[in-house]
Amino acid sequence: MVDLESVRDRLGAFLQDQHGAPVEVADLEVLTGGYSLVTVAFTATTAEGSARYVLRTDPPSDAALTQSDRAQEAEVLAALTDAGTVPMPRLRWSDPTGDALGSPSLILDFVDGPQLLARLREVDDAELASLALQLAETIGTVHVAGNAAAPPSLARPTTWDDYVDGYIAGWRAVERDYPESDPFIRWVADWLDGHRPPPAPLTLVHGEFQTGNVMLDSSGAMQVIDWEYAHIGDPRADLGWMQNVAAFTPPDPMAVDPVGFCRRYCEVTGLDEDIVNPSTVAWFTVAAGYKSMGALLQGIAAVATGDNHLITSAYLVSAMPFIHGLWRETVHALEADAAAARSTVEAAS
Amino acid sequence: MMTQPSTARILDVVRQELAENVMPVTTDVQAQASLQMIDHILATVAVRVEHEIAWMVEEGDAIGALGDQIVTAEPQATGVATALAALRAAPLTSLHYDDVAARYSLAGEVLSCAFEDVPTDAPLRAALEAQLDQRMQHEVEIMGEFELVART
Repeated sequence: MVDLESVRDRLGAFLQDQHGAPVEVADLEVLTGGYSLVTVAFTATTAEGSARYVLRTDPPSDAALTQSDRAQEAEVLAALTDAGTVPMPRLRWSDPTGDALGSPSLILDFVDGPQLLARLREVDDAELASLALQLAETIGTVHVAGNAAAPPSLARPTTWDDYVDGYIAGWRAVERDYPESDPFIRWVADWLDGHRPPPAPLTLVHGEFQTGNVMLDSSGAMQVIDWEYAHIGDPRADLGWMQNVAAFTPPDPMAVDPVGFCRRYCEVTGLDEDIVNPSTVAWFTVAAGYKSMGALLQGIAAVATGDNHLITSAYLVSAMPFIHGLWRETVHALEADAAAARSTVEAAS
Repeated sequence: MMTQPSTARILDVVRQELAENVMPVTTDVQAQASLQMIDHILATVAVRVEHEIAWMVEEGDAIGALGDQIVTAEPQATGVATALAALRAAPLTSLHYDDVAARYSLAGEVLSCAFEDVPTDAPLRAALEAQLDQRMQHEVEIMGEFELVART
């Protein structure tokens, strides 16, 4: 449980230092929806007025589901805030070391609107289709603007092949580091290696793009949150990961009209439909997420060794069979599509 | 040792108590999410205690036999040969969990190596896929219905 009194006191002192005058912190509310960080909404009031913000902070190390770098996230968010071209809440303050706030923390503008996932669950089919296309535009905008806006400190892969080699090696490393053999990971890494899609230009990738990490603001615009896994990579990784997560937490907005979704994304990004289409995205549905799933598996492994007592990690043991099943279905569907395409070509010739 | 009620049945009783008498009076959203997670975990544990040891032994034996066939038919499958030797060097000495699980992991390594060593057009490939599907079937039976809780 979060000690909100302690959070309020630390925030008050921290913001007073930043502002140079008294700041009253009130209306603290723990936000659910994510598994990795503690997220608290609060109102800060100064002599000039009040505003609502969100604190993203690391949980205590023995209660951390996953590990990610708040300092790097702060650097990314600061660069994107300065650029002002990526749809996201502005970063206002950060404490990457946690010296002031007790653990590494970020403070961002609060988005006064529903999470997209919640909204998708209550709308009719027409609205769902409309929001899906808006989402394609939003992530397309992230990928177009993000390349220039990303901080220079983010590692840039030398080539697309190097980047994809990293994915495949990443999955193999995840399996190697887990306390028991997982034949599904070894099988899928081998399959990925032999069925690479055509390359796409590398750009800023959110790294954990999903409908739970998109907020609708009061104007109806989409704001992308939770950038802890941002990196330079293949933009289709975000689309694939979104579909992966949607299998756990439906609905999948791309599934409404996969071709139409990709077409709208291509219109925004200028990428060719040979590069971005449901089949190439499906490859990333399988490939994407070795960092997220690897972090999750680290947490589960820590439960096995007694270093982690999180109920969430124990619960997410079931995420692995789920994802194994998703991989099997996706790979079988892609192979059936490829076989059908070969038959068509043979019949025509 | 009392075996009745079975462990699975006791877990069912615990789940029912949580659902009927604890969940309805829990108002904290984080605690509600924890209870939903606990309910799912208990459901998976109930299946595991019923079948886990048997499934690990059966799958391990089947993978060992498949590994023998692969080593005979695919001389280049050196990874399989090495993993199979490790499996054979660790015969099942007891049905205690740690012994069975350790041997199951060694069998898993044989299966992993097989996917890397056996060409996709080899006749034994279908048997490999079937073995992975068998593992999948057991995993799904343990997992049951699964949708992430507390995501909105």
